[in-house]
Amino acid sequence: MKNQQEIYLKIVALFEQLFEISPEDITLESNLYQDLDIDSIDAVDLVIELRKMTGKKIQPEDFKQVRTVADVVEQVQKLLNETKA
Amino acid sequence: MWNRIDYGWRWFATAFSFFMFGLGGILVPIVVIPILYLLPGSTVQKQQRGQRFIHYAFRTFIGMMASLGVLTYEVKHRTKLQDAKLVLANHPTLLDIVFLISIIPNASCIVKSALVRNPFTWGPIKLAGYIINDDDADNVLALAKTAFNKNHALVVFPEGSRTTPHQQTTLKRGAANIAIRTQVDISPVLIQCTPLTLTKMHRWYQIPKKRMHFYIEIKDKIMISPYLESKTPSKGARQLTRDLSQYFNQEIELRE
Repeated sequence: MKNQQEIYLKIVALFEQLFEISPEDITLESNLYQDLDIDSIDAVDLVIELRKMTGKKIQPEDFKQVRTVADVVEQVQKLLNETKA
Repeated sequence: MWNRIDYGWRWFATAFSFFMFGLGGILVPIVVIPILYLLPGSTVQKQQRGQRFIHYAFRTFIGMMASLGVLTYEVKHRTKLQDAKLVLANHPTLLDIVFLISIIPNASCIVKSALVRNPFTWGPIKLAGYIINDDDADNVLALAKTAFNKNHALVVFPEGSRTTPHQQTTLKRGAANIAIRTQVDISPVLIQCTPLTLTKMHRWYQIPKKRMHFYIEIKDKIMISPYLESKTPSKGARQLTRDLSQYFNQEIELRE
């Protein structure tokens, strides 16, 4: 199973690649919508990319709860754990 | 003395105009929606008739305001709108959408969901089948695509709401995303109102000392193809939003 640090780094790389956000601007506490200027269309793109990354579908309702980068990491980890179970 | 009469008259005429707009907003649906439903035709045809109806109603409304002496206006390069798909305009005043729909017979627009709950505006919105921004990005994009397929011209204010006066225009990325993800060219429209009135900072009854003049200019199209070459649509939308911000700020500065 991937550890949180690995997932975090992958997400940081994804944010740079998708949204031109430089890694030094991102922390675990960064709010996606307020700090990182991600909008609702970006969120749709992000869900698609996370699906590719995990091979698992994220429920839109689950993603609505996501506010911070830490929340994203947690969601991804949850999905990866499901695969194992 | 003459100035005071002029001011008083324009104040009265402005109040009357807003009253008529509100009255129309309430009466039109009651009278027109049943008629449109009863007339034969497909849903698309009915929607198109609704759209036309609002277009002519707004044209009449602007004509009324002009003949009452509330405002004067000029529209430059109107013909450039003939095959317009995505119409993007700056948004200084409350009347912008009324002007735009009055010059675009096949206009649709994206409205904020609060306007659907407003008794004065829900009727016309239903009648013409305007797109309601319900914060479901996927849904709005799909509806925009359908609108273009039906040959509607979609009016969007990329700022999201009215400009805060004397500030640089900042754009949201929604408009750019629509352009990129539905792959349509952009028809920019420049709107200027002098003296500036009916902005976010004004109440409707705070009318200007001088009769307001609207200058509306339809600019050459901005082609979407260069932006489709971006690695991801989200990057393309960011670049296009930056370019559009610069474009509108520059054009507005040139006029001032």
